[in-house]
Amino acid sequence: LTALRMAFFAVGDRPLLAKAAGRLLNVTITPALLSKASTALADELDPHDDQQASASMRRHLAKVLMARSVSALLRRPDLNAGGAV
Amino acid sequence: MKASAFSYARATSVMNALELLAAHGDKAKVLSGGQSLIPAMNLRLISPELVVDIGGVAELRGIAVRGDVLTIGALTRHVDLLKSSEIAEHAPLLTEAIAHVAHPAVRNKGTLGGSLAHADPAAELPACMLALNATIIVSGQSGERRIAAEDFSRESMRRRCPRKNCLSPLNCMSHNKILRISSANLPGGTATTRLRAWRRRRPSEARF
Repeated sequence: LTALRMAFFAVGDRPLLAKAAGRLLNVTITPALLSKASTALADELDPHDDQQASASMRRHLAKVLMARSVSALLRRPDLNAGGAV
Repeated sequence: MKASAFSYARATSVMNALELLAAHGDKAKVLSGGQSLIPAMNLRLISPELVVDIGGVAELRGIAVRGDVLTIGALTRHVDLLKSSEIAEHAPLLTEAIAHVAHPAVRNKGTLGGSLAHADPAAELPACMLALNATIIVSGQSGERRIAAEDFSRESMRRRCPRKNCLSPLNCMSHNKILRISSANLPGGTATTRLRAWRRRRPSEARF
């Protein structure tokens, strides 16, 4: 990967580009690296609570989606073997 | 409930719409596909004195590819995006994401410009614009401005939130600008994917 733009929405007051995606550029992506990147994503997001979902649930789902989408983009099912992060 | 009484004007051009908006200021709202504005009016969350309908402004319609730029008119409906072969070829992220926007009745009327102006933080299309690194072109009394998607969403939020902690998107329709066109550069060798979680989705784009 030389460039990666990951836009997350419903995790803040506007759609956000994940800075954590930068951790996945120009490196060999391993499950451990992806896990670190998704933890960094969870740290940078500050989602809100509402009747749809709690902040912690939104943060968790963002991590799951990051792993799934990178796995899908690279066609590397091994990166998402656990189904969650 | 029904909306409070309001006046209605059908703009004949972008210039005409801008004149109407300038003359009426915050008391006027722009009507595009009406899929957010009309429900909000019916619930009396907003009560504009004048509705400026831009639905007949032909210059705001259409999808075009010129060189490496894909240009989408603000009045392009969701269903037009969904069915467009140009979009499927050059911005497949949009084709995928649109299928998850509301339901067919809304997609038959709702427009890209309306969705971006409404700027719901949980909406697909503003996030897609961000992932695609689109440029939003807006027209105002002071002329035309080109705004990067990231800055556009930040501006939308500021416009929407005179009161702190106000997450409701319904106040943001006081924009006195008209979204004219949004365009996306078309980087070569790009793959996109979009995933959903529960009832929310997240698009992403990657370049190899």
